[in-house]
Amino acid sequence: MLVIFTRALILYALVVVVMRVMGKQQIGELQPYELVVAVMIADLGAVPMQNTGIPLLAGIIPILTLLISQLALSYISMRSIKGRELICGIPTVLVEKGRLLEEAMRKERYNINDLLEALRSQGYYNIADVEYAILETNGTLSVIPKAEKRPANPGDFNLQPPNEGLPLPVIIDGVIDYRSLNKVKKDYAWLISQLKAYNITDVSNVLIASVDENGSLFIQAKEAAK
Amino acid sequence: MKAAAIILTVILIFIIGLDVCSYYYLKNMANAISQSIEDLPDRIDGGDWDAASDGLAKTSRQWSSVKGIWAVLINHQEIDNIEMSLTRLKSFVKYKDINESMAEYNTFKALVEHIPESEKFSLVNIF
Repeated sequence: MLVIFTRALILYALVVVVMRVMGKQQIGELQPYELVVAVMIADLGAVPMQNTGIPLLAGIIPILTLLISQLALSYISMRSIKGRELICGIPTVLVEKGRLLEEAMRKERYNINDLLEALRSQGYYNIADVEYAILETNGTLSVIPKAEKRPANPGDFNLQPPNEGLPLPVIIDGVIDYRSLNKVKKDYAWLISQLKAYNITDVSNVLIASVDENGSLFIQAKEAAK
Repeated sequence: MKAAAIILTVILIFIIGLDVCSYYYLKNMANAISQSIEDLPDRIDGGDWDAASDGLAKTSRQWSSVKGIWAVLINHQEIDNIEMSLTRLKSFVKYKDINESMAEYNTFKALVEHIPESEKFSLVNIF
């Protein structure tokens, strides 16, 4: 029992580390070669986990082999355009200037229903609103609507809204994040004085506090502290 | 968070407890089966085939009473191997074949005694 338990823990830790090293792509939208690695790693981890007759190394070595192969392919696809095209493929334009490209759809084995479904999931219910639709190498569909159908933005009205920047959390669950605090160019004394303005005396009573680039503070106290 | 910690602790204690209990249970039962067949070589050597058969029948009953519980704890392939070995041993004793009986006796004993070792929490078994 404990043997299987320990083997499962070791393989779990290894797979978590390997997925972490492989990068964020591995847990988001996958390229074909990344999908292969994810599927194979799941199997390679699961089998020796419960079968004590298989040496643990028989699971560990292939997982590490896949890790280095994946890293090598990522490196090649990052450094070489030709390599990238070979490994990941190239995006395919399915709708061009409002017209469906039948040949491209046939080549990608992408039928009309698949296209309509992907368009609907992106909020385009009428294919007539679409100027371009591009099938990306990770299988997602990028859509560019016709100019008259795209959402209006401040630029259309010659408006120049102030830069909102990125609000950074300076307190999370009662713990001050000094890195974020330094990034917004504020210090501990400023934070405490701001908390006092909200009648909060103890940092540990704060659930979340964030500061945007203009220096405005958002604070929410913990339920128990209210 | 507190509930998760309690569940984690209970599961850990359950797994460790089950492991320790099952290891000692398997060890004791394997020793008992092994000892019940201990005098078989002397009986075979002495040509006392009836006593050897009786002894084996006793071992067979003992094995039948534990194999159901063993099936919960160990790989079923191991149980099949022991079962086959015992069947072979009974046949060799029935047909009074000294050499094959002796060889199968040692195989059966090794198969039974190896079970607790294979279930022991050790680096060899983990890797």
